[in-house]
Amino acid sequence: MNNPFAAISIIFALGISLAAVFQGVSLGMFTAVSVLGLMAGVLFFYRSNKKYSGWVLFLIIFISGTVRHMSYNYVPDNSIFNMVKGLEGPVYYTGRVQNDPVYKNTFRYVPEYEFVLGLEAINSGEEWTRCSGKALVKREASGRINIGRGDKVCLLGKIRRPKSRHTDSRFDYMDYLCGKRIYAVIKSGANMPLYTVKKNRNPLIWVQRYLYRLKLTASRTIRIYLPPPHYGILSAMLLGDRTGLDPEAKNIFIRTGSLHILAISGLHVGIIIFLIISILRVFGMPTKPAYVATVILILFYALTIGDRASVWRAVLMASLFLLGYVINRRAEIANIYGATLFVLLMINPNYIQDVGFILSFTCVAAIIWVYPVFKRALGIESKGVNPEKIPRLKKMFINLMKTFVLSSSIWISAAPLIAYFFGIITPITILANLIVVPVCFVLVFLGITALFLDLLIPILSAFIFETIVLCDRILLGILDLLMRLPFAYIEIRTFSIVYVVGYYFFFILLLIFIKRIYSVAMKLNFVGS
Amino acid sequence: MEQLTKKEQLLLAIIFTALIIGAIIHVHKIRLSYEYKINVVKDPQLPRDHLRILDINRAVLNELTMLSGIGPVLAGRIIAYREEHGPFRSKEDITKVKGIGPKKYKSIQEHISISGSDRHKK
Repeated sequence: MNNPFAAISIIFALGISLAAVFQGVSLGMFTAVSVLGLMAGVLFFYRSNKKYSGWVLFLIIFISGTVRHMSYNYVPDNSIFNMVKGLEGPVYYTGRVQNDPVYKNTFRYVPEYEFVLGLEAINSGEEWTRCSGKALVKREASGRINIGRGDKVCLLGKIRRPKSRHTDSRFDYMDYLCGKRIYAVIKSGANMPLYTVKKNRNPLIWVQRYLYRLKLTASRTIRIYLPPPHYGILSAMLLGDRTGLDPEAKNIFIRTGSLHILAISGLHVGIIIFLIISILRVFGMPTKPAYVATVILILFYALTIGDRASVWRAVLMASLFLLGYVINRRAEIANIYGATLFVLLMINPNYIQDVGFILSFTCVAAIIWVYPVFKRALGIESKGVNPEKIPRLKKMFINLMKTFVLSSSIWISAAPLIAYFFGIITPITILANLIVVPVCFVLVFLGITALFLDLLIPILSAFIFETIVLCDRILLGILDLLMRLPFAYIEIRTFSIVYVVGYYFFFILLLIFIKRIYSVAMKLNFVGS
Repeated sequence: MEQLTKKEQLLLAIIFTALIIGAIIHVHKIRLSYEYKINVVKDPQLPRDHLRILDINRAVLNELTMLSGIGPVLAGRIIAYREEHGPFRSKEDITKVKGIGPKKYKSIQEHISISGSDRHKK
């Protein structure tokens, strides 16, 4: 097997998916049945015929995925999930603050601080009861609150289960919170007590706090220089903060299928890595130390952005790729993909239900497995031809065609998922990507340069922000034009999961068929070898 | 220093181009703002509908400096105040910003608005 990690992680992911579909089955019962079944399988198949050992391995990995999902989502008796029903009226809670409190303006124009509390104890009457699980605290803001990530706090508030609220076609707020294992919401009024029991002493959390402050400073700098909607666009591209995104601008990106540039993923991380390496090299650092420094810096970047599956996917893949080069190992992209998928799902199996995670891995899978098949089938790349002998004009045409085929491969692979999650099919994406990707490169590059320059020479930073506004305006203008073309996008009400599964079944069959045809044609010398 | 690759040279070229384009736009905007201030000083009776009304809850640094008597420092303070205390609820709230007294407020009150009333009218 050429890519063992890819195969293992995909089977592992399938196991997790099965557990996610059949939630509610007892973990103990499932583990017992699985272990017994596996032992019988190993004894029977491996001793009688060795060719079945692969299937046994398949089963072990598949069941491991299922067990991992079940154990991760296991809810103990003292979990807030089980206790929330019996709690009425304001109750005291103690626990550790799990993230930096975020100041939010609600739709009722009552500003709130929002943070996640890892609960430790509840006091509903006279005595404290031990409790576990996470709750989202919404604290009415009357001034600044003096708490931070890692602090142990005590507060009074009313608790309830999260309400199911549909905002997009497939997005449900309750499912979203449950995916993060937050099973309760605590509402705390501005006049209710909230005090710090113990300050944080963990140095790692201090680093995270510092990075969060850095993110806020960067966000403020962007807000000072850029007017809406440009502020929201650059904030989303650089900091993953989509709160300031203008709904009209967002609509343009959705309808042209280019919303991916507003979610930090491989494209952005790739650009940032390229920039860091280039800057380090300009300052004379040798290649290998520059790669190690880049890995450290992008890990800090991922920590600054926060818990985003697509960011971690891109950062882990890039780190493995760079470290492979440092230790003189050939980087096999499919294995890196598999290792990243496996690691992320081991850390958090609930990522399997995260739209960003699914789309991110689907798009990379399209680049690894679909794009080469299409490229060869269309005869864009023939092996054995010296690239230096190709005329410049032809080379440009080939590069353009490659970009077009890459864009098409990604769109064809991700279209049913986008239709399922967002209720839209956007054929214009193929064309839009040809414009959006280079402009995204320029915007991210200029954005980072402007933020750094603001620390040194603010006037130069102001100049670059002016150019960013210009680029943004041009981009929005072009996308608006593309959006108005006939059949640019088709809105659909429902797209069943059955269609998605059916689509991928036939799509994989088609890929295998094309590969076979190509290999037969190679043997018969119909295509250049 | 190692020899720069073509891609690294391209990055430097992008920075310089962006700086030049940005500088041209910036100078152009400053000129417009200067002309605007001169017009207001010279002719206080200038028809108000020809003047730009700024939304102080949304305006950025460069836009705020277009207001008469507001330089980059005061503009920065307005933004900082907005960030810290949330959006201005009324036009008079701008006097809570350090450096903006009733006199300055009087000179700019017709050129400002808050979100929800007159947003970026020309």
